[in-house]
Amino acid sequence: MSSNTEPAALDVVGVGKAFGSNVVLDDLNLSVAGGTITAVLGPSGGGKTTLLRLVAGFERVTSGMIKLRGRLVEGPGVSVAPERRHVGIVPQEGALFPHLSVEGNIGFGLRRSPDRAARIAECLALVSLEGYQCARPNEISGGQQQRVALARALAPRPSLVILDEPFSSLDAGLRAQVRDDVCKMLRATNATVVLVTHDQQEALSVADQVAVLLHGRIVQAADPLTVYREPANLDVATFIGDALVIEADRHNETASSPLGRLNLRNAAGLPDRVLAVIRPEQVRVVDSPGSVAAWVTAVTFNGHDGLVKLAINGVADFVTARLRVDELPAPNTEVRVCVIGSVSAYPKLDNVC
Amino acid sequence: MTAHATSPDTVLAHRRGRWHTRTRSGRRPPFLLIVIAALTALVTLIPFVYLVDRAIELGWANVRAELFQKRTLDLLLRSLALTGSVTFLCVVIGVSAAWLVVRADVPGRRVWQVLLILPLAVPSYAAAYAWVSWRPSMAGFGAATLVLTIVSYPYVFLPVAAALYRLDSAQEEVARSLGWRPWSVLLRLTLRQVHPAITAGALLVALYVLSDFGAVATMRYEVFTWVIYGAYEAGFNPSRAAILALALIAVALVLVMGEARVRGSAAFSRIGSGAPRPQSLMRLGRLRPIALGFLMLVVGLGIAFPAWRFVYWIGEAFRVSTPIAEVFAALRQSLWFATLAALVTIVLAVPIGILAARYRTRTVMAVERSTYVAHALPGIVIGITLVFVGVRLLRPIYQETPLLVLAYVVLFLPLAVGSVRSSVEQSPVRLEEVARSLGSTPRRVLTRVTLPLAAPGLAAGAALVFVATMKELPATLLLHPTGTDTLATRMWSFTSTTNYAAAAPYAAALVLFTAVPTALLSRFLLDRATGHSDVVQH
Repeated sequence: MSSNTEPAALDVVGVGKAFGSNVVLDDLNLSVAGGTITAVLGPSGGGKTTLLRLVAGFERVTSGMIKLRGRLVEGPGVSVAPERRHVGIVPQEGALFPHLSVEGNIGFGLRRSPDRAARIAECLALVSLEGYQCARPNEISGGQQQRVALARALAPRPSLVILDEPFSSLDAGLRAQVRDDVCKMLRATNATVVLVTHDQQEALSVADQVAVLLHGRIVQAADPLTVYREPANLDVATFIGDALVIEADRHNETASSPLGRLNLRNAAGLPDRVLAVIRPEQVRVVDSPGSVAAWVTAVTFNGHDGLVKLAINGVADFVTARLRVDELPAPNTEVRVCVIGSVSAYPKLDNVC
Repeated sequence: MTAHATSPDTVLAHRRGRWHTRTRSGRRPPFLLIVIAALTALVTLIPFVYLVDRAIELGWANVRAELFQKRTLDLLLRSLALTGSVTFLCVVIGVSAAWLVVRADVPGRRVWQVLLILPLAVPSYAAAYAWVSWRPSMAGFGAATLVLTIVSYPYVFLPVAAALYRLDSAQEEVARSLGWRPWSVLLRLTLRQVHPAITAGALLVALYVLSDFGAVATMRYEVFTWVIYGAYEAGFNPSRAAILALALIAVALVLVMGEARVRGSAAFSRIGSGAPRPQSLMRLGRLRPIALGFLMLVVGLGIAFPAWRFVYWIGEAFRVSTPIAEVFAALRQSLWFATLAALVTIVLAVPIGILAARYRTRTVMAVERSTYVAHALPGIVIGITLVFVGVRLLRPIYQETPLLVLAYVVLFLPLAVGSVRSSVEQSPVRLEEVARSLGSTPRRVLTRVTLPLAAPGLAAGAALVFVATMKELPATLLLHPTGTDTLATRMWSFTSTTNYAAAAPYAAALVLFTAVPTALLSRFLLDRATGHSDVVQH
């Protein structure tokens, strides 16, 4: 990724991992630049945890290699022990040592030295838990436990910090707040971070780079906007965000579809029959040239916006559009809709229906 | 996926075979631990190996002649009859008592819970002494059944009470809402769910009865253990003792395997680790006085009666003379042996327990299983084999403390291993991984995370071994260093010469010093089942 000569903080090259005959990761490649946050996003059970365990050194690769700051830590004949990798991990539930105080937890990875106490205090301040050093893990809240786990991982200044679904055990109200706090703290330390998550909103909002892990491979690794707007393939497109996939006939840079004319973002090299991916917010209710008639079958009001189900050419629930409150039509009325912006399209294969 | 399978790197790696020997955690079990564990397991197998060697030496014809004769068959039938009747009674008493004090509205449930466990602290020969010193005519099948039932029903009571605590009461509520009456919920749902705990407890009782020596000897009921001891004492008939010991082991192993089958074939829904909601208590109504009467009878027979007899005989003893100094000497000796045995056993159990909890490889399973072979070996058998092995191979430590401690280790290692293993299993592997990622070597993880977290379990295991050693009679009788006496051996020699008054102070001291750790242990075990005292919760 980086154009200069400095090696990436993490380089995963062609890694495969099988448990017996069960292949979990297959030819996986990922590069993480120093000082950035990368979200590894994939469905549950898709091998995300396996990947982080390989990087941390808890499992061995079946093939391929892993480098940390250019140093080979995992590969044929090489496996550096976890304690010599300087990879901090923040597990799902925090996993604080129950027999140690907050201070003992944070200082666990620090050697005995005159600076030790100062570093613990610094890390406590970083996660805004001053005054809690003597508390026991079971005496503090879930969000605080998560912050202690983060401070514990950061204290020895690791070359890489891995967060494994760190917010999923928190309740919805707390999650966004803790997430924002944690990201602010991580940015402040300029740490290199890999965040493993199945929550696409989390990945898109937090990361510098989103790496989509599907079927045991990183299918796309790019900045969030690119991944959302220009998915590498149809799988990524439907995995990230809501998507309407419709057939269309391509004419140069545009395509005609039941939703009218579409501007193609990536027309070059596409066949004449394509599948276009339209995001719900790209469908607008406007009476303009090129718009098509649609029948409103249902309206779901969500507060700040609403979801409108539309029937087109007599096909019920053909489209779900996300509209602002002031744009919401009444149910059982006819409206005219069109697609704004440009869309991504992919070759239509014969076996795809 | 197909590309992966044909990739030359992978093929090469698989052929080298180096990626396949890894365990679930992706790391090989620490070599040092494996070596210590394997050596320990080998030592525990000494008695078994000796007996088999002995039988081979004698030849099949001799073994058959000894086994297939009427008196051996009678012996087998008597042993099985006693085992069967005691196990049956223990299941009835243990299950009803457990249900009453965990799930019914009996007043003072926590007090009853401790009182009902306390008979565990009374050695079988001390209980037998209480009865036989009251009615010297008591002897035979009925008397042995009574005594053994009363001292061993807690082996059923304890696991069943723990299992009842863990049950999800939501299931019972669902059954009620589907129209089941309370009693059919109890019989058709609750008891079925605690079935594994009942069979496990019944197995413990059956093994206990098979290997018990003190009660059957006091009650003069001829079963395997007493006859083996007789064959050994009367003119040193080692071959008959060895063959009978092997027969006894065979019966015990059949029981162990039978229990594993019963448990393995039944499908039970395991309850999640979450703290269960407080359970609703069943209202007994008019049956309450009957329930209380039942509990009072059990506690009366198990605790109050022996206590009364001890006090009575101590009074008699003081009227004659009081060899206080001798009692204290024996007490000191008992405490010293029990402490030594507890420490050595727990230290040896730690490597096996950690390996069994964390690295389930084939080697580790074999090591763990082999320590359980000794679980089926009665103390009398261990005692006799170690006498022979000591005379032949270990002359320097024969009738010295190390050989006696070795016997205790062989006998009680499974208790300690089980306790280490379950407490290590209860602390998440995640914690050890986090410690590794923070720069700790595996050895430092052991001392800074694994062992501190398992500490309560280790203490409980050591206490179990301590109590068991204090109570142990036959092996101590055979192996205790010349010139030293423990509470158990003193009491035995006075009881066998019907000098009941002289035996009383020893019996009282013994029960006093086992009752306290037993009460603490039972509270710990039940609290762990209910998740009260556990720190490893998030």
